[in-house]
Amino acid sequence: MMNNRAAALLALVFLTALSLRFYDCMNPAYPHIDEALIGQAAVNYWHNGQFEPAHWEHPPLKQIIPYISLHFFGDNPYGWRVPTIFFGSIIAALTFLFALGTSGSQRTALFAGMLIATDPLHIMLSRHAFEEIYCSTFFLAAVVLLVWHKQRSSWLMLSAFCVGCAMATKWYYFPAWFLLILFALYENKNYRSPGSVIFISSAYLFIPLSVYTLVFYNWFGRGYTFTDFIEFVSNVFTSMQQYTLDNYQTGLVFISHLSAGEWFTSSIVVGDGHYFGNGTGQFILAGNNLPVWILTIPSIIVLLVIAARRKSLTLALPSLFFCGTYMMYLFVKRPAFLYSAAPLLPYAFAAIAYTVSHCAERYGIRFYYAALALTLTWNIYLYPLATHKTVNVTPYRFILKSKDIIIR
Amino acid sequence: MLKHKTAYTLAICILFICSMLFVSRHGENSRIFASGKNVHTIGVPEKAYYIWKESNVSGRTLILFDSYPHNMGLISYNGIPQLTKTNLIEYSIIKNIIRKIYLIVPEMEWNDFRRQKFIRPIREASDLAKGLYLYNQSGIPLIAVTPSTLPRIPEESLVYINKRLFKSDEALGLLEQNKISSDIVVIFEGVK
Repeated sequence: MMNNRAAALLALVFLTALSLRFYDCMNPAYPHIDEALIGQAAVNYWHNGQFEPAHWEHPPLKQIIPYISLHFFGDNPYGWRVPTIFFGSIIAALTFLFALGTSGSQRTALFAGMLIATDPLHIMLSRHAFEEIYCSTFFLAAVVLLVWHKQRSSWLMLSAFCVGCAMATKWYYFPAWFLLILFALYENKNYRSPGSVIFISSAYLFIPLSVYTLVFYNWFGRGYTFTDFIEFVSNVFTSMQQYTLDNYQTGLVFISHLSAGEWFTSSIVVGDGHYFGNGTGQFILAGNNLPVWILTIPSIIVLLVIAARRKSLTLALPSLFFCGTYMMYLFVKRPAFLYSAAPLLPYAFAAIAYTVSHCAERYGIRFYYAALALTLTWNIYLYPLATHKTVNVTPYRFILKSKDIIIR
Repeated sequence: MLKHKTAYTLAICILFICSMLFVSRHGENSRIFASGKNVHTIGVPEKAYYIWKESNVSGRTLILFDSYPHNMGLISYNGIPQLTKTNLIEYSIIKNIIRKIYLIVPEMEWNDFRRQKFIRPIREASDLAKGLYLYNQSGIPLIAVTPSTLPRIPEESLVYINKRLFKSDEALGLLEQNKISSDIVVIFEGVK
């Protein structure tokens, strides 16, 4: 599966993602959304073991990674954004490997990788230090290591370590974590060997729990013990379910859309920007890129049907991880903002890519290239709106008329 | 076939146990207690902070005989937080003197307290008949309890008594009855 051509395509996907995220990343030079708090929260956690001004319900790896970055680059746009730019580029490469590992097709892998490399929302989140980028990269790394492990125990342990890092950033993948364990037990019929069952179960439970606990080292330094930790985690679990709109800043651009049910079915464009008066303007918009995203639910179903026909659990993985994570958003009582869709995108795009490749088998290779060209053209057209570039507003007027864009 | 399963499984279990012990020990070692048993009477609340600071205490449980709320966070301040008449508790949390609070609510006021709009309960304290975890910006465990349900606390605690709201003799009697020891008791009786 992994030959020189695949390696070249992988490099192409990674470099595309990196270029689009890194280019002009100092723009805007001022903090956008939570970036104003990143430095203070990172320093406060590292030195005092406290979470403020961030939410205390969020695990602290999201403070530790920026702290390291701020140490090297300083409390400036590079310091805030370099980690998510890097992680956001890595995830494009991981999406390629995931799609390749599950479908066995380089075309599917290229399509999936390029979708995430050029997705305007993912680019916007990567360029503005959203921790969703960290956790989704860690979890996808865990999945990729599991898919590609070829009976290497060390890769499984590394995969479990990545699960721990994902959970130590945000809890998005709690249901998917258990899917991962079930898949690890199922593949190669590991469940038939008691030794393998004990090894896989202990690796995927104890390594993530150890990582999760150890990232709280600075918090423990305030005098807490493991008993206090259990009490704290119980409070986190309960408190997170009680979140309402009042817990968020009123100026947060995402608060106009609260339901995850909209993400893949209706158009969402939020963000802020300003007009210069000469027909140009600058914007940082976050949208669900509906022309592409609307293919998600049909593709998830198509992939599940094909996987069931072929009796291939590996092929069904994009759909299973998508459903496992998305269900949580759909049924949770608290608001679900659009940026929380980022952890779903690798699985959604892998499913879309597979469906397009499958259609190309029936309608010819031109269908595949046309779909790829069309998608990339559309995404590149939206790129300036997600990245604070000065744009002529006329070609974008149908997007900019959204009532959820705050003009400053 | 997965290789070295037994060795890796053992290593993982050891790693997990060591992680738990390591962080717990780190936490316990971070608690600093005052020497002896000291009782202080103060006229302004912020004096309590200076008593705790001079005693160099850190990472402590506070038994608070006072009123609620104590819910300001870093974000509530313009710039660096300063100690004021009203933010003794929050400020001491910021300075890592306090890590956990038992807020004593008089027995007769418990039902009214629970109905107050200014409190935001997180959950019931399952091991206490009348105990409620309250939301606060810093995320420390803040547990409202009645005198009859105050649990036995297996470490020396800081005690703060607002004499305007609680009788200090009764409060100290409650601690003795529950076998709770304290290295620093601060009694706020206001300016005479």
